[in-house]
Amino acid sequence: MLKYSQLVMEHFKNPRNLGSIQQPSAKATEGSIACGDMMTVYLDIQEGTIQDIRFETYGCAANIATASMMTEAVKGLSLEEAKKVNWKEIVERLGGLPEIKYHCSNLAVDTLLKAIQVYEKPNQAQTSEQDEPVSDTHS
Amino acid sequence: MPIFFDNCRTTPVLPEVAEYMMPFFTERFARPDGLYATAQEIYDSLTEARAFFSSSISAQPDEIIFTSGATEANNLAVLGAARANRTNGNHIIVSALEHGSVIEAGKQLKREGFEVTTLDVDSEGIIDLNQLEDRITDQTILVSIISIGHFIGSMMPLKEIGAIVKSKNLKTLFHTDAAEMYIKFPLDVQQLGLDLVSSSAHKYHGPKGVGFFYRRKGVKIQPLMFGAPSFDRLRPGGENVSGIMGMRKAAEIGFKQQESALKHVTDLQEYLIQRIETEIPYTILNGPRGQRRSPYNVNISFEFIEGEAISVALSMHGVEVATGSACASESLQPNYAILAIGGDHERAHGSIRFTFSRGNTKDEVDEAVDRLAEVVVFLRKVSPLKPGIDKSQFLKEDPHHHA
Repeated sequence: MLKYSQLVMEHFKNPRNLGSIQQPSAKATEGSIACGDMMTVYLDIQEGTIQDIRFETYGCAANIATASMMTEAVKGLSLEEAKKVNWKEIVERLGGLPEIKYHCSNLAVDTLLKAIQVYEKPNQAQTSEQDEPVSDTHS
Repeated sequence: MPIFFDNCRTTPVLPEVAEYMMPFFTERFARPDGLYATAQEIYDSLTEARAFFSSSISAQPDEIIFTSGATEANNLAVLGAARANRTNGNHIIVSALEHGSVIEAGKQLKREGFEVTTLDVDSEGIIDLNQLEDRITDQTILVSIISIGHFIGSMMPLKEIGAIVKSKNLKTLFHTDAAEMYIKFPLDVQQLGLDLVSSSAHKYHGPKGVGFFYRRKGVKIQPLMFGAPSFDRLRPGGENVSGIMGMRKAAEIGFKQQESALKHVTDLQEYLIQRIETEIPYTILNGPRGQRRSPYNVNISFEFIEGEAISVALSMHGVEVATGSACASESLQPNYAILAIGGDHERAHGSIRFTFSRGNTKDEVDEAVDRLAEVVVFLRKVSPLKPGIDKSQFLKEDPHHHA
């Protein structure tokens, strides 16, 4: 079995900011059932700041823990600050992840960025090519 | 001790087996080929063990070769038989549910210029006998079919397969990987028409790193390793005496309990399936029901959630199981057995396998299902997928995995 840090297990057992927001400023779903991980992020944005963030996710323990940690990391940040959060930071804050699980943290950040994009450019978000964060950690 | 329901992967060594092995490390450490009394004793012990194993499958003693386990035996059967019998043809046939050691050995044969046919399985994980008959040609050296699909418990009709193989081509060899079958079920190589059989001690409460390979007399096998002659001519190197003797003890105990164990695990299996299907909604039993399923195996997919998370959560509660999720595999590929029986990726990702040993109890099943029910409720609360949702919008392959 993969070895997870205590903090990963803690976030897996007690995910922070779990659930949905009734009337979100924006929401986005990324990933795919076929791949085995899929995440929905809901944002409540007030005056350019992430007032509240919620998530629901289908995936492994690392997927759930990285989603939880991502929401903790960006709650209360301005959108500009939140856009700078990257997967490495999430992994570090969790006390590390097995390398094969790095892509889970990509999905958490991808979904956040997509939700912000939906908020900022609602017309483009459906059609534009998303800038995929670099996935060079995993092939 | 956690509740262990991954006995198809491995089983605990019985204390009496471990105890029986001890003197073979410290006092009876000789090799069988020395010209002194202690060596002769070991020679006699190994000879007795070989006779025991041969009679357990209705074979002859010189048809048993001790190996490091089923992986080595499978490699001997696939690579060894194909390479040694190339004058008979260049084709082998395997099933879609083979163990990795047969699949990978088959890939190696392809690199060496052999042709490898993989037989489909139906929705219950059983090969199509007509397709088998169809694919055997005058070029077919070997048909290798696993006894029991190790992920979903489907029992292959070995007797029918053996009859078809010999009726189509008398030169075609029939091999089965019996790692999941040996000891748990009667296995008679004459009745089943088997030329080659693989088995492994740690699947039946023996030590790891030891097994035996049955090779019908006269069947040519090219060795995988070369060296000075030893107890097994096909397999040079220092004999794993303690392992073989431990395997011998584990087999003896296992055979005595074969019938009662079958009855016991059948009860556990029925009870586990019945409890899950009545208490947890949105489940799919993977593999056959009834006679075509090994009573040692239960495999169930839980919709809307993912198996790695289920198994990690169960482990936190002291229940150990296996999953077919891609997220739990090094390759990040969903379990091939679930895909082979026509399941989609979600069904593979959400699959949990429980495999019993005769040491498991009904109380353990109760505890496991109680914990499982809680875990499934929790993960379904976390999941954005809910009953009634249109999943088709979420089925595209996502680039974050495959960049």
